[in-house]
Amino acid sequence: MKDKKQKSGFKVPKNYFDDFDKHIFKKIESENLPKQTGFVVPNGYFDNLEDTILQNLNTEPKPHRHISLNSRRTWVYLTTIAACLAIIVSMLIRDESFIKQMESLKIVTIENYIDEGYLDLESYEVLALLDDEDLASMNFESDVFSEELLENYLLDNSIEETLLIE
Amino acid sequence: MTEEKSLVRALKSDTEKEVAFRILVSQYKERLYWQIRKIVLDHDDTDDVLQNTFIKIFRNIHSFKEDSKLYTWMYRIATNEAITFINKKAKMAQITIEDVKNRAIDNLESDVYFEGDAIQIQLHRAIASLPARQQLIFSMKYFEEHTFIELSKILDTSVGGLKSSYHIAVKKVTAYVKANEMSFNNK
Repeated sequence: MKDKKQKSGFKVPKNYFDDFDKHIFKKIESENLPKQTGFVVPNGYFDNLEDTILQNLNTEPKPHRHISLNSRRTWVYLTTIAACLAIIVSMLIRDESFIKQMESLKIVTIENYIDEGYLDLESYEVLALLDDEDLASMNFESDVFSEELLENYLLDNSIEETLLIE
Repeated sequence: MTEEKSLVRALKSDTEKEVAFRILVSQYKERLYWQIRKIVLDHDDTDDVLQNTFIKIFRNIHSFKEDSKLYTWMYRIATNEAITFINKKAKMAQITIEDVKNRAIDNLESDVYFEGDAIQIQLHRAIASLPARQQLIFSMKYFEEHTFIELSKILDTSVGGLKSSYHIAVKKVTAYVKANEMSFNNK
């Protein structure tokens, strides 16, 4: 075929026409994919949605999760922190600015510090810091295993050998 | 003043807020519903997320800067809420986000609010196999008539980046469906 008189100046990327068929088949394949999601909504769902949402708007927001401060774990942490502070303060008792800083530190701040995991304490480490008096003054949850419960357990699971030893 | 601007003004006022909000919900409920449904897949979950989305829009309308379109801002909230919902669900069940999606797809066959066939389930599986960002781009472009410019505003990405992500996603989805269709037919 005779070349055209004028050249347009347009060019195509290298191998454009070689790969053209491949591209067009790929496109056809992708066009064969379903066009709908298949999802449906219950009948009349959208009809009253405004009312439902406005109704929810007027209800109080959900209360925040309440974290009890009165748990044994918290008290163990607090006692530990208090003990640590007592040691540090007694060591640095002469440094007045330090004492001022310590006084301004709120218990809540310390508690948040621990709760957020900055102070990684094992329960054994905590226990090691407590003396006999501390342990005696702490109120353990002794009602978890009541005497009656223990008695029933032993009656239900009596091991003859144990009884024989007694 | 355009219709949208006057609606936003009413939404920000104390006296007209509730009336304007009712109009806003009726205008956008379906569009936002489908945006969320494509991410969370289940109707009841979508309903929860949609309601939270509108409540968030109502409570935060004052932080809408009006330098973008209202629907772009709302789409962003809906998308974020849906993604947060999936993440929370995964965290609570102590499984991965992919597993949450796969479980939702497993449930589609018995879902009364799904009327798709086997190939549509394959399509959803194919979408779930994409990276999170590509899933979003693919679903929004493939099932809805968003232009790339609109998408770039909603997803805060360049048009060029979106186009290439979308084309990669189309290729992967086609290949996935084709491969699984063959194994499906061979059974």
